[in-house]
Amino acid sequence: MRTHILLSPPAEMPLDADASQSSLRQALDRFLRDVERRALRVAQLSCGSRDDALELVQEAMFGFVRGYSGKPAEQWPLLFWRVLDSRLTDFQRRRRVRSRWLAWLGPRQEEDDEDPMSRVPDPAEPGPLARLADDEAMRALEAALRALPLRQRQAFLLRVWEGLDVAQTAAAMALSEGSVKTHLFRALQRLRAQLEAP
Amino acid sequence: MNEPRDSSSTAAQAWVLRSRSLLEASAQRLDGATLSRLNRARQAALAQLAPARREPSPLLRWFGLGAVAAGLALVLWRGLLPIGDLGERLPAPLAGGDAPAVVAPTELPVAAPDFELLADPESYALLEDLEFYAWLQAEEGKDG
Repeated sequence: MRTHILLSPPAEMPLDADASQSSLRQALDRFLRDVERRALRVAQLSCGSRDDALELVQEAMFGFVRGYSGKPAEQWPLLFWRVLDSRLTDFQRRRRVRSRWLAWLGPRQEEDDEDPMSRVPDPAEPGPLARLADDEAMRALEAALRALPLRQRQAFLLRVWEGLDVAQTAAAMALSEGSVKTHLFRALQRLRAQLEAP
Repeated sequence: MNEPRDSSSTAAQAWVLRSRSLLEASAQRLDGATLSRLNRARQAALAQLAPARREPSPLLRWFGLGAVAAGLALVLWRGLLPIGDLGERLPAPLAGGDAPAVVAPTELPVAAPDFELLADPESYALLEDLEFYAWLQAEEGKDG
């Protein structure tokens, strides 16, 4: 698992309630500061819009602090990703319902919606990832990641980027370890096939 | 014999590392406005940790309630005591069924002259003139 800067409140801290509260706040601040950028990118890869992603990350921070700040600091990364994953799943569900309604209401409302073609990876883009310049490579990777189903993308990001092991990824996604392995395997297969195609 | 598999595994690892470094780089390249919004979001989330008004411990709360109840009981007991004691303070009925004779008041109690004096406006005026009152007493002493 990724080494986080966060540490539990030092043992020598006085047991005074205010001091302990302040120490907890500092530790949480360090943890959230460390994780927030990656959380934003993960959210953005799922929802497309940066504003939506920021809102989701804020909701996740609120939910995490409200529900889990009292838990041991070692569990924070897992719990934070669990909260964010839950928000992303809700977001995806809402979007699916919304697009179903928009499809039912007719094409006029769809004009304001995002062009679905923009979410399809550019077939001319992919090439061997290693040969691409960083910006291009990131664009290709981002497009490929966005094209993945949510579960596959989350399994890939938590396992490969965040560095959670299979059990932790399973806990963060509320899935069995077997399901995580399957999602991860399919994600890697699709990503590599798409990005490393000659 | 295992070479193709090893090279494939190495390539996969290299690919994963490359993906990871790309993602990490993209996270580090966020613009100032986004970072500011992230900072505000973080601070807002942490504001939930502001020390709430401290609730008294359950034991202390029960103790307080007990004290209030005891105080109320004491006030009620003291307030109702004269009524409760009234029966004890009434004279016991006389034996033999002799009812006490009702005596009509024929003369005023001892304090009555003073009361008359106070009720009489002229006497009250005399009271105000203390010198005259003292002279009158001295004259009565001479006569006696």
